[in-house]
Amino acid sequence: MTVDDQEAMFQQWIRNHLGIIVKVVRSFAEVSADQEDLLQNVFINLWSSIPSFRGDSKESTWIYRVSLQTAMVWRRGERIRTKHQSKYLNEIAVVAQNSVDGSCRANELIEQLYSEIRRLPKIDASIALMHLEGIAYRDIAEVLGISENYVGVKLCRIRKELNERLGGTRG
Amino acid sequence: MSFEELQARWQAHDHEGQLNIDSDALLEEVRRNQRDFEKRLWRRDFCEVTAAALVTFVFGTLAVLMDQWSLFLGAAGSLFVGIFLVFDRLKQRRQRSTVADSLPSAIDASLVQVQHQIWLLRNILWWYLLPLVPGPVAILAFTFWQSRGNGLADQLVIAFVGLICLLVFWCVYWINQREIARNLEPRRKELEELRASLA
Repeated sequence: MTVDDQEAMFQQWIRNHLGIIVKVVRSFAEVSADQEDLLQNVFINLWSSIPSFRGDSKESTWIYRVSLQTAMVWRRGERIRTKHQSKYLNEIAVVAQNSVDGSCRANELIEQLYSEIRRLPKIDASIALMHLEGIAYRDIAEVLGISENYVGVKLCRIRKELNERLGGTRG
Repeated sequence: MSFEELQARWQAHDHEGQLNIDSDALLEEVRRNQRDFEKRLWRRDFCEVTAAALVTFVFGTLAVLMDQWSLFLGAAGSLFVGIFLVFDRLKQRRQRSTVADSLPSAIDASLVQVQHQIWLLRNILWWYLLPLVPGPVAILAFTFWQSRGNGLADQLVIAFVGLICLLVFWCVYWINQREIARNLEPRRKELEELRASLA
């Protein structure tokens, strides 16, 4: 794969699947500085992963895999951010902040959901996120390297837990 | 509200907001960050090895010029530390995992890195401090022996310098052990739990 191909694919992935990355980042990092840091990690790992992408799985599955893998081994405070602070990263932080401050009821629910996902253990958070996206058990299992049965068992508990935690505030 | 309704709201929500990314700027940024990250790793290794080489050179040159066996010990200790660091970094680079690995293997790779870091810091006495100790000890002992006729004041100064050296070595050891307890052990535990939850 040439560098031009890699660049073209990266830009296409960002155009088409930025939502996946944003959702993963917001599910694992709460404050904007952490979100920026994790986002930067995800972008770098996504870029590095392109030569390994053979097209065996869907692009979205691959992007989930790389993003979640990065988020799971990422640790708050271990910043890789350099002195070059980007405009695009600030924009993302602003978007997240706007959402947090949003007064719309739907936004509140989604923000609360993000908050509850962040409280879950990392594996459970990943499963919950992909399940909310409507991703099939088989694909969730593939992304996380676990069995479909295990995904099913985990999801039963996660759904119950989220229902209980959100029960009092939804309507 | 059922979970299915929640799911529907989640899927209908605009998670990106008004985000409009300049993909060219992003690409340039990512490539620059990746280059910077590699450069930083390289610079760290280079500084550590250069420092060891420089100390070896200084001790070695002084030892030849002054014809003092005690200085050779300092040079040998620094050389050992430098060689150890080179081998360790080369070994670690070979073991660095790629992003395309599965999630369990990515966690395993992180775990191996953290465990190695713990091992390195826990054993800093053996591969860093002890090899460096004989040089200063021999130099101080030699100077002490030479100054035995100069009176108590000179000997006290040498003893004080020795005490400062000891304090510095102890601080280096203590800082590294604190790093293990504060950051590395919790990180190892966290990764082990994460790995266990995938089993």
